[in-house]
Formats: sequence, structure tokens, C-alpha cells
Amino acid sequence: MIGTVQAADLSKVYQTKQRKGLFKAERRDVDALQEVSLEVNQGEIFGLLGPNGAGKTTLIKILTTLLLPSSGEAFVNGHHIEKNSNDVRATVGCMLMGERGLYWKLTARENLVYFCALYHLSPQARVRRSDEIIELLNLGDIADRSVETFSSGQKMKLAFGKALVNDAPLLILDEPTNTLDVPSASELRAIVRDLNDQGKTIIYTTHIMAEAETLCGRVAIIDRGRLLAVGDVPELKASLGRDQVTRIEGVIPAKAAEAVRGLSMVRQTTLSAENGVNCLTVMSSNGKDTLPKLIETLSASGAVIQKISPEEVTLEDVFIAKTGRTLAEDTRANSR
Amino acid sequence: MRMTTAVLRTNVSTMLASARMRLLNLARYPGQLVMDFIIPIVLASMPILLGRATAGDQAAAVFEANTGTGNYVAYMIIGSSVFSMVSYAFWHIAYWVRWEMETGTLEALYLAPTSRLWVASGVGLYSLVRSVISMIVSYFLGSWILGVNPLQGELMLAFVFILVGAVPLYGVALLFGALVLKF
Repeated sequence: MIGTVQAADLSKVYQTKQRKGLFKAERRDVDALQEVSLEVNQGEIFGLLGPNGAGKTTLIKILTTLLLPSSGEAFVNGHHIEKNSNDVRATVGCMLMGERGLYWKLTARENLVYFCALYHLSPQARVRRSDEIIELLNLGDIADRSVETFSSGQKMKLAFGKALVNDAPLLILDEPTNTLDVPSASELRAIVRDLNDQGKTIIYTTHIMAEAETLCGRVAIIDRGRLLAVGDVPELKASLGRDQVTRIEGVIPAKAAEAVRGLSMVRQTTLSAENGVNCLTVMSSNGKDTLPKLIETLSASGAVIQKISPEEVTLEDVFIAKTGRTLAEDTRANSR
Repeated sequence: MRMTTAVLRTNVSTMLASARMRLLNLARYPGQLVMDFIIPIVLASMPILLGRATAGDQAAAVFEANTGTGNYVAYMIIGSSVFSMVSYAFWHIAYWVRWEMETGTLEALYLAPTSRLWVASGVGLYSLVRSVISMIVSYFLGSWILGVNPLQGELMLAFVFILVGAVPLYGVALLFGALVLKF
């Protein structure tokens, strides 16, 4: 069915080589994706959330036929990804790897015309479609400049435009707002919403939870190759039950966080450092009752509390609850 | 897919777009174009000048006795141009694959529902056009610099032989490109 994705038990094992000296190498298997099953419905914006290295891009590469799965199968727009790979490619618009994937010595218009040719548009249709995309993305002023002279944001916009050349019913966008400034990211999200209003199904990967929360109807949380949760955003938040989230800022030694973790009503804690300030996120079954005990335990363990704020459950909290880590912390660790 | 006229037309159009895009890209590197013209002349000049230095006035006669033509300058320039063409065929295709891999455009190419063979043919066509242009310019420029008449002898016959030889040459070069991609 057009605008849909069904994936069943998709797994991908990469073989990597660990170099040992000049010629020796040790082979290692890396499970990039482990038995991921999901469905994307027609006309929805489906968020794929997870830190860098979680397996989002591997999943997208399998769905767009760039990679073969080690096991499992998937249908995209009703076409089998291995048996009808050309039909899958023809009916998917994909933005991968951001500003890479463009010819930097060519102009924006020349890039778009070339990519239109790869989708078998006639010479007249290539020019027409390129003009439409340039107008849609407001690239008119820079359309005839070499891409190498573009800012990062302009390159990202053009890469997004490239995903639109075949006017596909399903758009797969891999972190499209990376490197965009706040107004440009907001502009791009508005275009994504408009395209969705026109009936396009959109799979949107991001590691920015707030972005997913505002844009996506349903989301899947993926981490270390495993699908941890799938559902509507409110549904996922509600899945935390009556848990309350309390954020504590200040000077918080690790042993204090450890002591809090030992409290019976505390379900999960995460200690992170943001702008030189420690931030302890505590999920507990009953926030109000826990708070005095929390303060007492932290003080007894040498913590200096600067700010305590009870907060509404966010997708970030859902991620913490499912993985035990914050997304920012995980993204930093993976990018090292 | 059955090769109907419409499919063939589409594939040829993709091939031409692929070649055109690369020629446009090349046009943005004028220094590279100049190098394409100069390299065959430099390659030919070394044995030509060496031959003149060692054989003196008898260079043309000795050369004619061995090869059938006394125009050793044109002979060497054609030879170096053919050498450049062979070298370019491998470099353009193998380097193209590697370069597209590194810049990320290869994935963009793989995302499209187009035949990779026809895109690769476009790259072959681009390389052939680039090599033939550089060969012609180098030949006339080299003849002028080294002071010989470029229009003597069986020039057209040499050109036909080179073009016929280009077909298997690009086949082998594409195979080489596939090996680069694999390893």
C-alpha cells in the first residue's frame, strides 16, 4: 500500500575489522539492528528516535534498499525491499547524510536537474520540477550559485530538496535539521508539516526529543539496535505510569546519585553535566512523598542543591526510563 | 526489465545526464583541463628530445627505417595521447567511484531507481569525450610547439583505431572501478 512501511524482525550484523599492526586484523561482528519490527501508516509523521549509533540510519538504509538486512523482511509502499528494490526506490524520497550527497562544484539548480534525471524525468520535467523545489524551499536567490559557496543550512535545505525530486508518497528524512539554525530548522519543520498535510507519509529521524514531540504523531525509540518502544507521543508519556520526574541541579557527587538510586521509591536516576552544573534526573513513583527523603539523602551525601524542579514527563524522560541514560549523554559518548 | 524503445530512451537520457553533469563539473576546474592538454605533450617531449639529442640529423631516417614513418614527433604525441587516454580511463572511473563514495553522492545515486550500468556508461562517455578532446588539443598544440605538420600521414586511420580500442578499454576500466568499490 502506498505511503506505508511494514518491517518484520529486521536485523543487521556488520563485520568490522579491528586493525592489529600492519597487516593483521581481527574480525568482529557488530549487531547494528536486532529484530526490529514496526509499521508506519499512510499519511502519518513517524519519528525514529535514538542517539547517534542507535541503529536509526541502518534501519533507514535497509528500508531504502541501500543495505540488505541480515535477516527479516520489509515492505515499503507495498514493495518488497529485496525483490522489488527499484519500485521501492522509485516511490521513496530520501534525505540521508545531510549536506553530503551533493555535487559542490555544481549549482543548486544543476544538482536538482541531475537528480531528477536519475528518477527518469524528461528533460522538460526536470527543469520544471527543479524550479518548483527551488520555489518551495525559497532557494531562488542562490539557485545558480555553486553549492560550495552555500552555508551549512543552505546545503541542508538543498539536500532536503533533493529528496523531493520524485514527488514520492513516502519521505524518509534522516536528521534533516542537523546544522540548521533555529529559524531555518523551524522553517523546514513547517515545510515537512505542509508536505504531510498534502498526504505524504514521513519518517523522521532525530535525536532531538523536543523536535519529535512537536512534529511526530507516533514515535519509535531505538537504542543499540533494539526497538524499545513504539506508540503515540501521549501514549508513551502515559506509559511511565504515575511516575514523576524531578530535576535537581547543583554540585552532585556520584556517590550522592548512588545513594538516591538506593531509595525504595526511586525507579531511575540519571546524572549528567550541563554547562558545568550537575543535573540529577530522578523518576519516582510518588514525587511529593519522595522529595523530603531525596533532599535529606543528597545533603547527607555531600551534595549542594541549587535548584529543584518537578517537571512534566517528556519524551526525553521516556527515553531515560527505557534506557537508563539521557539522550544528550549518549549522543556525546557515541560521537567521541 | 524488458528493453523497449521507451526504456532504452530513458536509459540513454540518464547516461547523457550523467556524462553532462561530470563535464559541467570538470568545466569548473579549468586548471585540470589545461593539465589534460599539457600532460601528453610533456610525456611525448621527453623521448622526442632524447632521440634528437642522441640520433642528431639522422633521427627521422632511423625512426622511419624502424617504424615506417619519419614523422616521429607526431608518432610520439599520438603514442603519449593514447597512453594518457588509457591512464585516464582507469583514473576517471576508479577515482570517480571512490570520490563519489567519499562525498556521499554514491549513496544518492544508489537511492535512485536508475540502472547503475547506464550511469557508469555515462561516466565512460564523459571520460571518452574528455580524453578525445584532450588528445586532439594535445596533438595539434604539441605539433605546433615541436614544429611539425600535424596533418600528414594516416591521421584519421589512427583515430579510428583509437576509438575502436576505446570500447574494450572502458569495459576493463569499469571492471576495475567495480573492484575499487568492492575493496
